Amino acid sequence: MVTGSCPSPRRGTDPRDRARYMAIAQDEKFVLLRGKFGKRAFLVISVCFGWYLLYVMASIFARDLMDHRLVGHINVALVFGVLQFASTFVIAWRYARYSREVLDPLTAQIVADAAERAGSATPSQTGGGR
Amino acid sequence: MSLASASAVSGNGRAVTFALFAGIVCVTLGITVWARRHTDGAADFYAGGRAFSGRQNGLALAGDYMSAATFLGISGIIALSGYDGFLYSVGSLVAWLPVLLLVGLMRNAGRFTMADVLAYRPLRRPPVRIAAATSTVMVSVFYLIAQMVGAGALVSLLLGIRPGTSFLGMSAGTAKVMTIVLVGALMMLYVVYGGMKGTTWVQIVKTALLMSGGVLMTVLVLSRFGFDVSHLFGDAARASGKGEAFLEPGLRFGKEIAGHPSQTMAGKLDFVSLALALVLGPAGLPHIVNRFFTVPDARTARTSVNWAIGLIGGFFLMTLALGFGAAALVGHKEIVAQDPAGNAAVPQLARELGQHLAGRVGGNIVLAFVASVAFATILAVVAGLVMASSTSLAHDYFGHVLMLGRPRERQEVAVARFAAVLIGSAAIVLAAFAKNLNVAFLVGLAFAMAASANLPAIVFSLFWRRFNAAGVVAGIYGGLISSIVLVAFSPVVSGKVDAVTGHSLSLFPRGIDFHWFPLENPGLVSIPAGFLCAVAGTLLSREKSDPARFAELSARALTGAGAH
Repeated sequence: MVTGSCPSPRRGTDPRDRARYMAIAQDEKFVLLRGKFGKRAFLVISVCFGWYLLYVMASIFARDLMDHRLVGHINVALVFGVLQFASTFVIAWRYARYSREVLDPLTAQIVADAAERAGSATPSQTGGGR
Repeated sequence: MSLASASAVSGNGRAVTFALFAGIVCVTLGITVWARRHTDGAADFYAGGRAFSGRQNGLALAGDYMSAATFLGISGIIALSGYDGFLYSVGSLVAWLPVLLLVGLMRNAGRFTMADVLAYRPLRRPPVRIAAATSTVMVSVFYLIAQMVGAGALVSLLLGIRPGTSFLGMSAGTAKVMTIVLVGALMMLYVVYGGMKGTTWVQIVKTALLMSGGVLMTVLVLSRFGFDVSHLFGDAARASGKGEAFLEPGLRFGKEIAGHPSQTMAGKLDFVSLALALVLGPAGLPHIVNRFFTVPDARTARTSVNWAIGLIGGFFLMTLALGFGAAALVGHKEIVAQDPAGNAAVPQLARELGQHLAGRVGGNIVLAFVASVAFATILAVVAGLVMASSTSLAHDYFGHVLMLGRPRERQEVAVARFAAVLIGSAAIVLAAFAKNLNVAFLVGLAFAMAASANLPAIVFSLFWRRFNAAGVVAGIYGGLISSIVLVAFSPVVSGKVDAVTGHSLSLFPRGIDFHWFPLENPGLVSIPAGFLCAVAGTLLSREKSDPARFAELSARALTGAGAH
C-alpha cells in the first residue's frame, strides 16, 4: 500500500498536515520539548518502578522487616503499603503540575509558531479539534 | 453476629434488593435512550463525541477499572488472607502512573483505537490493524467471560439463591444462566443503542454509587472501632484465627512451604510475575485505552487520569477497612461458609453493619444497597468491554482492512453495532457453558496479554525510531501466544489440587495434569517475550521504517497539532 497518495479519512495522512508535522519536528523548541518530556517521563518511571519493586521484594524476601510492629497493630508492611499510595498521589500531582507549567506552554508556542509559518492556512489549536 | 444461615438475603431483603436492581436497570436504560438520541456518527459512537470533561472521564475510567471482582474480590481476599489482599491493590494503583505518561501522547496521536497509533508509521498497515484487532478482541473477550461467569455466581449470591433451592420456580443452575443472559442482554443494549456516550454515563453513575457505598461502609466500620485503625486491625487479626500473621505479608502470595525450597521460590516468583502484569497491564487494556479518546484534548485526558488515580486510590484504601472489617465483624467461618473465595464478605459485612444500626430491617436495607452497587458494577464493566471489542472490529478490521480505510462513516458504525451483538451473544454462550468452571484466572490472563502484547507495540511505536510493521505484528502475536501457552500449561488449567479437601483448584478436574510451567501468572516470562519479539521482528525484517513518519508521529503525539 502506498501511503500519502491514497485518499484516507485520517487527516494525519493529508500531505499538507504531513508537511506541518515535519516542520514542527525540526523546530528547535520541539527538540527541547521532546527532551524535557523524555527526561521527566524517565524520572517518573524509574522512581515509581524502583520504589514499587522495592516494596514487592520486601514483601516476599524481607518479611522480618515487614512484620516489625511500629505502633499497636500497625506494622512496617502496612505503613510501606500506604506510602505507596501516598507516593503515587504525589508523583501524579507533581507530573500534572510539571506538564501544566512547563510542557503545555512550550507546546502552545510550538503550535502557534507552526500556525504562523503556515501563514494564511487554517491555524490549529493546542491539543486540536473538537 | 446472627448470620447463622448461609443465605445472604431472604424475604423482605430480597424484595428490596430486587427493587433496587430494577431501579438500576431503569436508570441505565433511560441513559441509553437519551444517548441514542444524541449519537450521530463515528465520533459520537466510538468516542462519546469527545466532549466529556476530565472529571467525567476520570469517573468513567475508574469505573471501567474497578469491576465487581475488585470491589468484592479484593475486599474478600483481605477478609480471608489479610495483608496480601492489599499487595494486590497497591500494584493495581501504581499501574496508573505509566498510564498517566502515555495518555496525552495516545490522545494526540490516535483517533478511536490503539491501532490508530500503531498503524500510523508502518507502510504495510493491514497486518498491523489485524494484529491489533485480534489482540483487542482476545483481551476483552477473556476478561468479559470471567466477568460474566462471575456475574452469574455473584447475582445468585446477592439474591441468596443456593444450589438445591429454587428461585421464582427456577433451579439454582437455571437462575445462574438466566442472570448471565439478562446481564448479557443489557450490556448489548447499552452498547448498541448508547454507544460510548451511553456506556460512559452508565460508568459515571456506577462509580458514584460505588464510591458512596464504599464511604458509607468505611465510616460504619470505623465507627464500630472508635475510629481507631489499630483497634480494627487487632480485632481482625484475632477473629481471623491467624493472629498477627494476618496483618503481615505471606498468607496468600509467596507462601513459605516448609521443606520445599523450590516450591517456595516458585510461589515468590509467581507473585513477582503477578505484580509485573498488574503494573504494566492497564496501559495496554483496550477498554481503558479507548477511553482516552472521549475527551477534547491531551490536557483533559491527563486530568481524567489524575481523577481516576484519586478515585481508585481512595477506593482501594477503603477496601482495607471493608476487608479487615469483614474479618473482624463477620468472622472467618461465616465468610467461608457463604463463599470459599470470600466474594460474599462485603455483602455479609453490609448486613452486619446495618443490623447493628437498625435491626433486621436495617441489615436488609444496607445489604440491598451494597448488592445493587455490585450489580451496577457488573453491568457497567461488561458494557465497557463489549464497547472496546466492537469498536476495534468495526474501525480496525472492517474500516481499515476490509474497506481499505475508505468506509462510509454510517456503514462503519452499523458494523460496530452488529459486532457488539455478535460478541455479546458469543460471550453469553461461552459464559453459560463455563458457568460452573473456575475461570477467575482469565482476568489475570487478560492483564498479562495486555502487558505482553499491546504495551510493547504502543511504547515502541511512540519512542523507537526503527520500529516497523513486522515489529508490531511479531510483538503482538508473540506476547499473545506466550501468555496463552504459558497459562494453558500452568497450574491454573491443570494439576492444582487442594491439599486438604483433595478437590481440583484448576480448570480441569482432578486427575488431568499436563502442567509444566510452575507459575500461575505468565507475566514474568511473557512480558519480556513480547518486548523481545517486537525487537526481533523489527531487526530481522528487511522492511525499512520511514524516519519521516516517526518524526511526524512524535510531533503529533507531543504537541497535539492536527489531533482529532
